[in-house]
Amino acid sequence: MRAPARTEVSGAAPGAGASLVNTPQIPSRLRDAASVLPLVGLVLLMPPMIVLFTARHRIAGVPLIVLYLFGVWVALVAGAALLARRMAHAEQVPGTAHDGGEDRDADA
Amino acid sequence: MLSPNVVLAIALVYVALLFAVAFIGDRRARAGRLGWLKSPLVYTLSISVYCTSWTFYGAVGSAARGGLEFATIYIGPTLVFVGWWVFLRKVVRIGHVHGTTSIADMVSSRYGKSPALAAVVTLIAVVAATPYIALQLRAVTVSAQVIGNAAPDALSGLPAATPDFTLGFWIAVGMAVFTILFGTRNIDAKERHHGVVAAIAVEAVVKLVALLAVGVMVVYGISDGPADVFARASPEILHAADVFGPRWIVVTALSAAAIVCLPREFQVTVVENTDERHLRTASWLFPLYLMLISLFVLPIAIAGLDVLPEGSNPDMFVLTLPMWARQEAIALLAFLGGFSSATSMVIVACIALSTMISNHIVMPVALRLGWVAASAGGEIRGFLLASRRVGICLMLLLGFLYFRVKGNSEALASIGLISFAGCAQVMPAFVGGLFWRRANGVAALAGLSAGALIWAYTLFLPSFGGDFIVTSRIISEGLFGWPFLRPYALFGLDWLDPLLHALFWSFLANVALFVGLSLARDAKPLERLQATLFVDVFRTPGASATGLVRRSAATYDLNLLAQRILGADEARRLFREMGAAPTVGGPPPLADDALITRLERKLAGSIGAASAHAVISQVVTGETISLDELMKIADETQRVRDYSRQLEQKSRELEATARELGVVNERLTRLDLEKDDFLSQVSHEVRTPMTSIRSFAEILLDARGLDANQSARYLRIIHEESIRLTKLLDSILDLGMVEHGEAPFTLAETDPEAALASALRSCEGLAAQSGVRLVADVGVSGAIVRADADRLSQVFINLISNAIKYNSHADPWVRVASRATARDYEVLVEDNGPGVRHEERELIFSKFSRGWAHTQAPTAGAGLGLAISRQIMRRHGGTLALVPGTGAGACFQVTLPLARADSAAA
Repeated sequence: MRAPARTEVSGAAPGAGASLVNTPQIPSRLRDAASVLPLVGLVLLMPPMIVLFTARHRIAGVPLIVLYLFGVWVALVAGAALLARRMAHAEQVPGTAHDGGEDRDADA
Repeated sequence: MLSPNVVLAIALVYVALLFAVAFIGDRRARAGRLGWLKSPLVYTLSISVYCTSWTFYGAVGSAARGGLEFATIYIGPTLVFVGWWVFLRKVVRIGHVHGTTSIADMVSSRYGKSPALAAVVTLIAVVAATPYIALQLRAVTVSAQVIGNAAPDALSGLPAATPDFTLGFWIAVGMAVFTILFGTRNIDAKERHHGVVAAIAVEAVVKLVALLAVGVMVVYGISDGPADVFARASPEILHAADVFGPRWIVVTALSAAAIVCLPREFQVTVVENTDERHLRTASWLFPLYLMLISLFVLPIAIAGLDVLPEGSNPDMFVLTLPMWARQEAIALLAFLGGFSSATSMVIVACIALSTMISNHIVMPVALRLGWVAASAGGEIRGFLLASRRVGICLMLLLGFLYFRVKGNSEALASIGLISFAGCAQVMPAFVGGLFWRRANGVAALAGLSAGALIWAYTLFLPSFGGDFIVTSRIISEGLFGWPFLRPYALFGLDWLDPLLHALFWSFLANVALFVGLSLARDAKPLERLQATLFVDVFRTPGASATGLVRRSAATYDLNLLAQRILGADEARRLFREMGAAPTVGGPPPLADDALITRLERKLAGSIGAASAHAVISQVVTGETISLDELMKIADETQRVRDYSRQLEQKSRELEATARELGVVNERLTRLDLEKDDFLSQVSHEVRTPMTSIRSFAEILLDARGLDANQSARYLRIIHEESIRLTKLLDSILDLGMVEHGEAPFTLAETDPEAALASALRSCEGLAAQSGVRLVADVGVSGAIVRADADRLSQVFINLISNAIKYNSHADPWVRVASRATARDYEVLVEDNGPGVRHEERELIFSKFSRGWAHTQAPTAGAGLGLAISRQIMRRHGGTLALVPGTGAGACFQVTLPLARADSAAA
């Protein structure tokens, strides 16, 4: 089941099509969070924020800036993974038309 | 140390393995058993073609030179993928809906399927990719030399020695063979290269594992954990103080642009995408991959600087460190990792670029020159495949030539950034096109061309170090000897580093032209249509586009065209699907808009939107774009908003109408009741005299013993009753006539005082008879009204006689007063009778009501007098009303507007 197929189906009913195309089953909170997440990353990884962590301080022998950079990186990955999982969940609750196996093995 | 032959053998075995994977992948795909081939994991791994040998070897080199700056190359794509919802999702959706074959195709399709735009983007991509491919060839060649121990001092990683160009050439040939074998099996880019993708995925795993293995070896083998590694580092290696400046921001932005604009990235992310939901998984899995790739870069760089001899090539630390540590297996793995990252990039880039070259440069030229006229003989499909194969060879040849010319000079990282900066020139037109409706083709073309020229002059050409077009004289003294045209210090801007300098000027020109011309110029209809379909891809159902382009063509011609481009089998299948199989014998039916649009999309999936539009145009007649229809779908939101506003307004109107109807209905009901009352009153009033007339007439008829006296009395009664009846009927007629405006009124300028005096005279007799004192307080002089004098005195008589007749007071009086105000003439008729009860105040003016009914038994009069009087006053433009009097009795007021207001100074 490819995405264009979905588009075609909704295209058959032009009036209702508009909202169908826009995957309304994903709650707006998740959609907005997905838009905000890259901005959070941008703020955390760009100056002036990142400059705050350039102090010559080491934690367990590793410079603070290295820990901060990779820490934010991991947090972004975790955030995106969480959002992806919840979106997959939200999509599967109303209709179980597609198999969903692909998303499951990806999340595993 | 490994012998060169062992290395060669292992490399060949690895290549054979890749061929096998690609072959199995292709076969499975052909058999329809995609299985793991279309899993999100494979999709994500194929995106990691972003991590080339530039990453594998170059990131460590970059870290050794500039500390953490290497991370910007991976932070940009991380942010783009984490923010997939905003941008990539839209790109992938458009790619699916429009059957996009490449970045050039998408940009040109957005701007009205412009062939010029597609060609320019292709040209930029080819030029920008050439050094990048050269970089890969160089990395593989050098790494093979290093691990094969061919160089005099292998551990130094060949900082100066010449690469083995023969080896490089054969590597290029091998890559060309692989790419042609698995990359040009079919011409439909939408049918995807499953074999290639499978091989790329395997390579992605190999390079990650290799880099992690080297990293673990460095951190836990050579060193004693992370703390030990960082303890070896000079504090300066992080360059923490000055790394996070403008360059940090700009390179992050550049890499973010590159992840969508690089042709190979577009190929794997958009074109090879089989399911939009895979993007969701890639949104975190790909950043995770990038994070893992970057994780050990810094430790490897630190260890390399620490343990390897002074002056070693940092770009080869990944390979030379395991060799130094005598970990041959890891060294071999690292070599394979580097080999994987280089080959995967070259293969995908060549597929993407050859598709672009054949679709956007060869095909339009061939169509223009008539090599493959759509209506003449000749198999376009074969021609396309051949041109793609030539394109692949051409790209590798260009890459090899660049490698041959540039040889060994530049550090890997700077070549990569030059390439990124070139591809990023597409970004303004691309992003602007997806989100800005006004952006148009001329603006995109101008911005793109200007940006690319400045990029070439200030960054790309000087990177040859004065060997190619831009000589070292130009670099130092400027073009034509004008110092303000020095490539690295354009207009005297000499304090930025060359990359930022080139980006600043190229993007300034690019964005300024793009935005400025978009604002200045209106788009053509086809551009507007495409703009709407792209910008509103989530709101505009794909099918709604079909009705917009009106054109017609013979199905036979279209079928012929499809056969030439797609092949006979494919074309037959397509036409059967569309339900338009050509009829045998009979005249070819005309194809409708929907069929042509579908066919164009299908062809666009093979040869790009611009070329598809061009070939379709050759067989189509009368193409028009319905602007009305376009406007209709132009803005779905606007439409919905308008619709709901209309609904709201309609419902408000309906409510108002319903309210009005309710009021009218109420009035009608009241009128109906009034009419019923009136009829029953009339029958009642008529019946009473009729009954007495009939009974007396009957008596007279049977009366044999009646004397003349009695007969005469009865006859008189009959006579009186008839008169009464006639009067009643006259009154009813009169009322009807006054009410409907049929009564003959002769309006003339009259002195109302005269009418009042005559009325008073008429009533004097009645007053005397009833013993009522009639007080006349009149005498206004000079008041003139427009009125019918007889009618006016009829009203006065009615009022005065009523007041006299119904006055039951012991000492009855009736006072009549008149006066004139500035505008009106007024008459008051007041009595000291019982008055009108509160609840009857309005009723008394309706028909057949006698306001005094409660005072005494009904006497003469039908109860029509007041009703008639009020109607008469209305006809005169005046009023008749019951007003509060001085005492308990009734007080009627007659008001008439004066004809000449000034003369009434009483």
